[in-house]
Amino acid sequence: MGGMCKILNRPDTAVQILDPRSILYFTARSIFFRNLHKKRARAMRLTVNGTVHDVDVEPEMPLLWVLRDELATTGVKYGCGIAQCGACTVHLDGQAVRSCQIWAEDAEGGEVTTIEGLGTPDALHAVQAAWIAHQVAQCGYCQSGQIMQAAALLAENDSPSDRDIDDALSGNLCRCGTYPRIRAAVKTAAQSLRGKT
Amino acid sequence: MSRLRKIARRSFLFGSVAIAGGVAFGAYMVRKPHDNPLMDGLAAEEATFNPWVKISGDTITLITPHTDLGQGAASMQAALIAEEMDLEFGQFDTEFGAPSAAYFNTAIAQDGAPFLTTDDSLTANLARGAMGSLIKLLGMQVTGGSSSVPDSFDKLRQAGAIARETLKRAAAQQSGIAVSALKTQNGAVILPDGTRLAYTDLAALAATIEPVQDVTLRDPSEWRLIGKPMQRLDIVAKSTGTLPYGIDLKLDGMAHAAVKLNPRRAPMNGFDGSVAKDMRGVLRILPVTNGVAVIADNTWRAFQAVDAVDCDWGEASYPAEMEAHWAGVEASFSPDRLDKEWRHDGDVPAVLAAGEAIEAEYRAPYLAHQPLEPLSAVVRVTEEKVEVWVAHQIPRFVQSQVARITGHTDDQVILHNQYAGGSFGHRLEFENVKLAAEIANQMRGTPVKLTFSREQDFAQDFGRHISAARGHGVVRNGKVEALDLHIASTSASRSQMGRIGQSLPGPDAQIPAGAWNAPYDVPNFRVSAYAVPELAPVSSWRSVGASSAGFYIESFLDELIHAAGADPMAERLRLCNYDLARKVLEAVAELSDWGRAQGPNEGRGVALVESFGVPVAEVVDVTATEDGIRIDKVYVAAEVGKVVDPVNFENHVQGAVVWALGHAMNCELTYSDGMAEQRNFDSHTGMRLYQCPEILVRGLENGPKVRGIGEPPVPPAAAALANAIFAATGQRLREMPFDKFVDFV
Repeated sequence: MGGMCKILNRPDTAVQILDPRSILYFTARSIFFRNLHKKRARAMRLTVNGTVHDVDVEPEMPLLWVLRDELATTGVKYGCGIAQCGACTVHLDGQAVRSCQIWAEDAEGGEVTTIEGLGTPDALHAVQAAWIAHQVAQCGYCQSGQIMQAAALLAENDSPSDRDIDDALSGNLCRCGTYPRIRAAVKTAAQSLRGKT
Repeated sequence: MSRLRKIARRSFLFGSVAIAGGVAFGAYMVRKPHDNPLMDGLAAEEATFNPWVKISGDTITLITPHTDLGQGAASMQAALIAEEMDLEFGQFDTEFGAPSAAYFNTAIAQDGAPFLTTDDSLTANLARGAMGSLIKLLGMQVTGGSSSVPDSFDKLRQAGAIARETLKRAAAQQSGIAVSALKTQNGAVILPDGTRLAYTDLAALAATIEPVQDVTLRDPSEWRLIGKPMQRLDIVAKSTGTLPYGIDLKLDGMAHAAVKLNPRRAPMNGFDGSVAKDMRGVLRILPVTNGVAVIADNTWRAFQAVDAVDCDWGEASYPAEMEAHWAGVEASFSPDRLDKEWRHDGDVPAVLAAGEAIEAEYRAPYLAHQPLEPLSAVVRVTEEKVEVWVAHQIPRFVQSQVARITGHTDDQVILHNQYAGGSFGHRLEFENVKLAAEIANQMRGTPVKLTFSREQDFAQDFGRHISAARGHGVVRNGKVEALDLHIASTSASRSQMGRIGQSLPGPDAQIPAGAWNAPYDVPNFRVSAYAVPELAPVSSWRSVGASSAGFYIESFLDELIHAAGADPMAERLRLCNYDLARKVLEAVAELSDWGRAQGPNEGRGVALVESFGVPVAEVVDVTATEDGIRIDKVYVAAEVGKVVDPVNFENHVQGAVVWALGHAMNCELTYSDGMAEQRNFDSHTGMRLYQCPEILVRGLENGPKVRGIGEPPVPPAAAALANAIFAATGQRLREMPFDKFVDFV
């Protein structure tokens, strides 16, 4: 990992690379195989927030655009399209992934959770409640992704250190600069999740 | 009137300075209020008392015409009205409202007047007044220049008070009880016996009453909302993915468009869409200004197809390579390019000639805005009207720009303003709206959503100005004796105005902003601005001129202070001649415990810049580690007259510091072959979470005017960081981004 970090000089990217589901595998595959798939649409069954959807799209259409344009799940945001900003973060089988790097066919048979499925205004997830309590959002455009990333972290580790939080969330860009509040909200959410168990 | 319009148009300037001389309007024209746009389409049972309040039998609607770009403008505006109306959050809806002259900005012009904040002379006040009158006559509805709070603070409380008093009069008519015996609370008029008459129940009667204009505003001691933490109106929606941004909208039958535009911002010679036209989902391929559009049934398909269009681009009108841009800047330090000598205290040439001058040169690069929500716009054109859904800072200009393309009148263009996923000045421009209108006009009846890919957004971004500064100074007996700063810059104001067919009369006050008005009594002090002829097109980038000029003045002053062997804080305090600015310095010295002992490899820097009428002082602490510079902590004190919402204030100041430090650390837009080389966040990143220091914030309320905080914390940050790095390492950084010279961890 040290070598990887050094080459990339970017710990956040290294975090993603260490996660074989998110970038290394998929980027490599999209480079090598994208042309083979072109224009060959087929029916696929996706489970999003517990609801089964049949879609007829190209297998390589990024999950991001299936969610946004085909299923109107617009809490998922397009920010960069190249796994640099994290605005499109969703959970695939409980793991935080960049939906701009996941092909539709990769999500087939899996459980996709978006910000809308994490919690609702009437039934907030602990992370959302903490985000509201700390009033994290300014423009708010990155916050769906931040919240999904934080929720995935806390599902694995309910007592994250500052370093754990930095490692988990540094791939999520916030142009408004709400990082101090994001850190505080993650800690509050962790506390509230620990209280529940 | 036509002559008036002409004068007004010629002399109008957004975002920076002044009006030409000789503007004389009849007092009547200036005093006459604009029509209330809420009267249009008002139902019989609905009441409106002014352009900001509308009440029906079941809903109270507050109009918040300043665009919410993420800065919390909607909540702030609603709170000011609700304060005086005795409404609680949750008892009203908000709307951005239709574009209207009634929402002209009362503050932006005054702050742009080329006079010091401290200048209370007749000339200064006349100029401010004349500019304010001009903006009113033009009906300039604009969000920008950190003016939303100053524009709204009195006006919206007044609007709330008028509504309250009119509702009381209605209650008096209905109950037969004198107005003086009535109170208001919690969305209702309260009769002496405790009976509550809800505002909504009084709406129909209130609609028949002429609004009461003679109202008294609440004493600050009675404020329930102002100055206390509020829960932003949008916070739940933004934390649950349920707030629809412009890019999220979907209308029935809507088509999705993507564009590929000449990255040299010049015309397209031709294109080959033969591959794209057969791609799945593609509906149309249309040439548009400077490029081509693909319209498809899905955004991603439109992106894929437009990528497959082969385009032949024309040449850029500006230099192809970066070296030539810098050469253009350097060549402008000449008498014939002098825009204005903004300040000359003492006798700078004589002191420089007599003493041993210290010299330094600084640079600030082009930068992209790139809010995280990419530019988009939804437009539907029919014979009778054009509807536009977009987040924009100058709504009435959207109408005129679109009308020009579709052949409608301005009034036929209906703008539905949207919550924006950030702006930082990006949404003052019109390219997304104009292109969407061009496309939709060729597909009349079909709503079209144009979405910029991040790469297109970067390539077409009208970035921050490019500039350089040359400083000459003299120190004597441990004190700064002379400071001579020459700044050469391209002009965001001229570039921006040029794109809407306007020209800037007089010098551009943004070039020296933050430097010429530095609140220091250096005995010999001169600031001169040089106008660099336009290179790449540029625009207002959060804090505009002060983002670079503030870096120059506070870096060079720091160099002189170190050369004099003085303490950076003590010498600034000694030189500071403006009471409000001295107090922010004192506050930040206390907050940061300035005198405390430093560990090895630690360093701290301070900077003070006044922009948009707000003096802000910042201290940055760094440690030089083996792997690079770590920013440990930042302390900020800002003078705003009144902090409207302490939570949002702190968030906003912290965000502005992150913005400023992030770009100073690692961002620049460079050109090669006439094209921006940075096309996504991998090469123009800004600060990430792991780099973010703790940021302590203190808002001061000593000043007589209530000011906005969106931009003023940006200018001091880069200088404070460079000054801290010097203190820690002895290395003076004079050019942004700093990661050209040091690593950051």
